[in-house]
Amino acid sequence: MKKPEEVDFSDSSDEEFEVDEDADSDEALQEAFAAGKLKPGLVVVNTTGRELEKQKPAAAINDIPLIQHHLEKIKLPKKFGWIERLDIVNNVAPLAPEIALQLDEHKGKRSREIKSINSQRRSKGTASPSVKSVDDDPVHNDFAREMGFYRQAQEAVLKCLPRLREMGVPTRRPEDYFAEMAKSDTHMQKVAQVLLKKQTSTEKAEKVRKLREQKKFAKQTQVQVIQERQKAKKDMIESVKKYRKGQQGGNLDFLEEKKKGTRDLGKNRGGGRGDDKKRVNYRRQNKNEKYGNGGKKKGQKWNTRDSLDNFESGSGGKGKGSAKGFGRGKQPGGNRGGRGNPGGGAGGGTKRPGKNNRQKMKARKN
Amino acid sequence: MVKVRGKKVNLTPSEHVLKDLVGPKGRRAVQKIKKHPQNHKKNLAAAVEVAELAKKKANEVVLPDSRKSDESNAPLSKGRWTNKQRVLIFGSRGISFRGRHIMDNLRRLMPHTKKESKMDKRDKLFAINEIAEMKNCNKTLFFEGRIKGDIYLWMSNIPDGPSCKFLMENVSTMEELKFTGNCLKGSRALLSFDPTFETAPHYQMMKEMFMQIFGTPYHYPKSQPFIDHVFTFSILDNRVWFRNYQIMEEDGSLVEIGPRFCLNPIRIFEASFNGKTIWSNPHYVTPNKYRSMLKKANAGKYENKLSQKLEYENSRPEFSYKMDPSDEIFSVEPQHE
Repeated sequence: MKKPEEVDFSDSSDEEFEVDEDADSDEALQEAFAAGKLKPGLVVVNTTGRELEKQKPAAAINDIPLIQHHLEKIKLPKKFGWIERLDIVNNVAPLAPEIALQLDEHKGKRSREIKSINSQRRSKGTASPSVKSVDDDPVHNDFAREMGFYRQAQEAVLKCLPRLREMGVPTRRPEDYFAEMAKSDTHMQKVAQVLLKKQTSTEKAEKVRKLREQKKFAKQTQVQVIQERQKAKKDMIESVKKYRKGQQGGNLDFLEEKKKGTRDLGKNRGGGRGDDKKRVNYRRQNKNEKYGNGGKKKGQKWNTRDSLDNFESGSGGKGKGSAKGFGRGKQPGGNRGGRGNPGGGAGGGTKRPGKNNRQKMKARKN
Repeated sequence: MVKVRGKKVNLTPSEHVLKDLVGPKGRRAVQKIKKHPQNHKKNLAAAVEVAELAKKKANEVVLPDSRKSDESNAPLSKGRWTNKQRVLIFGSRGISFRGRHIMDNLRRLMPHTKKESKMDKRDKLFAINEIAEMKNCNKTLFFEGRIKGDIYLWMSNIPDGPSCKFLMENVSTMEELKFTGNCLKGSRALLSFDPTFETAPHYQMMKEMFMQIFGTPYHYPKSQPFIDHVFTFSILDNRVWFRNYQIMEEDGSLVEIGPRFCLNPIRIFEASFNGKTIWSNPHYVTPNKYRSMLKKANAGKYENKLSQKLEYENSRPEFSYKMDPSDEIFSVEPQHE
């Protein structure tokens, strides 16, 4: 077997043994050998010309001297100065705190959304998550890119406006300068509507979120209150036990303390429930007036000794006379319960003496 | 605080200056006399009248005939319009609605542009040179509409180049409601360029062309005297990204006006719409190729499914268990009558 160095390629007239010009050198041949391209025929195997052309990407053209020549040709004359061109080559402005905040907010929002989407997908078991983190999220990247452009424009404005002011070129138009705008008024109204809608929707969302958070908080406080009450009850029972055993020496102070404690608790809660004043339930009161306050209903219509003895005001007979004043002395205004004063309603009988008189009478009897 | 027509009004310093113009020594009175020297007597009488009026209302300020804004209009006519750039913006037939809208947007934002009816697709692009020359334009933005809504943008120096061809991507027009800014129609724009534009000669060339086409000449007749918006050109991902922002405050708070687009450069030619290619983009992939690549990527899914099925069928075992056939000797099948 011949060694590759011994082959004289330049003499080879056979077309099959075509070799690239730069493949002639020893190093190239060694490399080819190492790569396994040297076959027993000891030639670098080349693909045919057609295949090569197919594989080769169209060569990129970059004729720098010609470009520079044309650039010089088309450049604006220097006499025009900057005011004609108004161009500036600038980097992005330093990251303003409000923009950084916006970026952070957007990142947080997107990462939350991605999380929820991914968890949904996982639960459904449909597909693996397409986006894993915020860094390769196209939406967030779009936002960040736009922020970059915004900052570039910002830097340009910050650099150019002072320059323009020096030159005396107006940049602010006075309020009373009216001229046609790039966008019509009707279009701008539409824009304003959309903005308003967005604002209201965000406000709504904010409200809902706040409510939700409050609810969470309310639950926590409720749990706390219940625990405190249970603890107070336990303490109370324990101290009562101690009192019974005579450990506390007949001291009933703990009852007072307990009262104080409950009162404080009520204040903390902000409700009026723990206060001394009983709350009036007006609804209950009204119902009591209307229906009576419950209690015993049985036997209310039965005769009593008094009603039996009382022939004057009662009818006594069947259907004769008025039934008024007989039996129940129910009066408007809710003189509820107990026995009525028979005949009181009819206006007959004696009037009940006043409180002072009754007490005097009582004293005389005794 | 001064009284004007019975109302108390706060005057700015400039207005304080203006009030002096109205008096007998004011410039306006003097100008009148200068203008008509033959009517000297008449004007003198008028001047006296004005003086009396001024005396009468010594405490009050007579508002000038012209508004402040009229004054600021003045420099527009004073300056000389020297940089005569005119840009012809038009498109080919068969351009998509989006392309048409963006063309209109650009015409609206740049006062130094001219219109032309759409060009027939069968005409050679070289004919654009003649069309532009007939319209007195020395720059062109030509929107070439292709199938599937692709838009190619040609940017050219008439009559002898160079010209540049871009693929227009990610177009958002000014009409979209996400752009909340607004600016004067025909006000000049600041042009902000990315530092990358200085790095390579072809980018420098593009920058120069953008500057001459998108920059409205100073004192152009139809332009407004205020500078209230910025065009930004940035290079990202081998493309040129265009944005337009309104200047809200001097401290640099901006609002986007639109339109938005992204230009993927394809080639730069030596002449206008013809000539040798002096630069071509190695990263450029034609939209058709891109779409076919996407299709192929999607097609793989189906093929993969098929091959998986086939593989499963081939590798499926015939018996699920190795069973001893002698086990079944004593199993009795129910006899059917």
